[in-house]
Amino acid sequence: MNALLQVDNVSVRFGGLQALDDVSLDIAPGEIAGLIGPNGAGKTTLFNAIGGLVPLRSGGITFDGVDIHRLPAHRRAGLGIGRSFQNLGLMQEQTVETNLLAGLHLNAGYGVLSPLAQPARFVAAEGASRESVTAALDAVGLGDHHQRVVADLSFGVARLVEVAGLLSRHPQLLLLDEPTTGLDAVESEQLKAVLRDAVASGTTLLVVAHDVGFIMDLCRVVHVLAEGRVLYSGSPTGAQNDHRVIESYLGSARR
Amino acid sequence: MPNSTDTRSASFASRLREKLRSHRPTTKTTLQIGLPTVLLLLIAPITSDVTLFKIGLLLLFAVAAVGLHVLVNWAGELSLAHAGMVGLPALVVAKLSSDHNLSPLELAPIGILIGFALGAVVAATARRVSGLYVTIVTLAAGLAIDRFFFTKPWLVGTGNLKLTAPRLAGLEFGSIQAIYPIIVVVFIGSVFATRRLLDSKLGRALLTVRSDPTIAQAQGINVPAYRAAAYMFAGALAGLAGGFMPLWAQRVTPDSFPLELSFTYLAVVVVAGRGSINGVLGAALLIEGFRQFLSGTSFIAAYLGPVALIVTLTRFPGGLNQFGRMIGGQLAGVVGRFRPGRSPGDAEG
Repeated sequence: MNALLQVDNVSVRFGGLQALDDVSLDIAPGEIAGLIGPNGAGKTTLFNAIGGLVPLRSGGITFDGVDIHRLPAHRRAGLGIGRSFQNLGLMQEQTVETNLLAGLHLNAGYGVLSPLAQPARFVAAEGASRESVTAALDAVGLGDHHQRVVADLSFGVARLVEVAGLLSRHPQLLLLDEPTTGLDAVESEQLKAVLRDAVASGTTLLVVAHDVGFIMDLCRVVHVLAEGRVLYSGSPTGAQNDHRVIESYLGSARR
Repeated sequence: MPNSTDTRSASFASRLREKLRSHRPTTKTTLQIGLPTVLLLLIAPITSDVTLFKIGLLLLFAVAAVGLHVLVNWAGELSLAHAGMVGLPALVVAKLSSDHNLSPLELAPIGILIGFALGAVVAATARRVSGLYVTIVTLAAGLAIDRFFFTKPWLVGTGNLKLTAPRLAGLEFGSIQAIYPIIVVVFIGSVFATRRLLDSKLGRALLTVRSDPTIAQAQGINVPAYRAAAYMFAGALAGLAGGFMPLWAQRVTPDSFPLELSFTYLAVVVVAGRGSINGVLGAALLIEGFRQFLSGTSFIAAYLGPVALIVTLTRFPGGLNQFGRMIGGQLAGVVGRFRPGRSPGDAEG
């Protein structure tokens, strides 16, 4: 099967720091892949490289058969790449509903001047967006949170709001950066269920998390990064038994 | 049996009916447009021409301020060239009217195009910098307009451009009372159109860009394009206000648009704060209204803007809009307490 995302020999450098060094990995359509590694391994940098937020020093990235490594970030999002951020990709001072509607920018389906005349198409599109928001919040059990201001929510709830917003866009590929941070055990289980549903409806996942248990339970494939290089790619069980992974990451994570 | 022409016309009629039904204004829309329009129009017969003139100036000031509000409080950008963006369209319309015997009313829409183009020029320079440098670049743009255009005799004449009498489609608008409804329509139309634009993906995209450009890009928002759009929108509204200035004032000179007017506009939008257009209308009324109507007590008029700016920044950074939200929240709490079937603690929850 052709890969949905193909990262080929990607290197990223920040001044004297080699953040990614010749990284290659493939993500198949419908896959739930995990990306783990110690702090500073280059996991978020790889997300930024895929999303178009940092320039590549060398290498290439192909998404759904399209060479994307020269495309600006907003065009990559337009192709169906969604991503979350470690520090929440939400506007703190806005309501949950405004945040989720803002996230549906690409799905809106009307021109920027349409609101002036408000033709039927605009009214229908706005109505559909609001329905998507309601459905997404219902899916994570936050159906009564539309008018809550994000700054007033706990970090865990805000994280679920962020994920709900991302899923409401129906991205082809979803990059989740530390989605379990701030979640309690029940919320983590709820998130796992939501993500499995998303994959069942056609989304491919690449998840970064320090919660090894979450990754091992959720993912079918795991990529391990250390010092900007891919240390291991394969099954979660294989990763747990790989001496390089144990030495560089799992050993310390288990402790 | 009906023939095909009848069927086609019946189908056309039903489609037209459906289209008209979908465009039928709601009660909310009617109230939003109708009520302020009627109130503003009712002022005309009960005030003197001098007062009405000042109200008209205030309405045009508010139109330009709404543009800057979108740029500053929604897009998170800044412009100290706003006085120039109002002034240059005003002077161009006045000059064309004076030289070519054209009605300033027919020429007024040209102001929008000039303001839009100026916004594009300022956006092109401002996009290359960030933070404090945006302030400096836009201040330089304002200075450039002031020093280059406002000093040229081919634009400003000898300081006394004689305007052609306002007319449109054969109708003469010979008095301030006759022109006033046009200014009201410009004001209400601008506010209503801006409200609609902000309550759509455009407004939400600007909020996201202001909040975090990186997140905005990841959501598929073309950040440079939306930043430029905010400058062009602010320019277009400034140009609209400027374009109608010769019609209303009947005389415009560069002195009407000093560089410090840009600071007054900025003070108004800072005092307004993030959020609703109501805040900027209140701040315009407070700062420019006082300046217009208390011109006899020039001390208060001169210092009200700076004082309001300092008080807002140090004591109430959310401005009038935050104040409005606070009052609204408290009112909602009071109403909630008296709602049947609710326990006393519900309102706080």
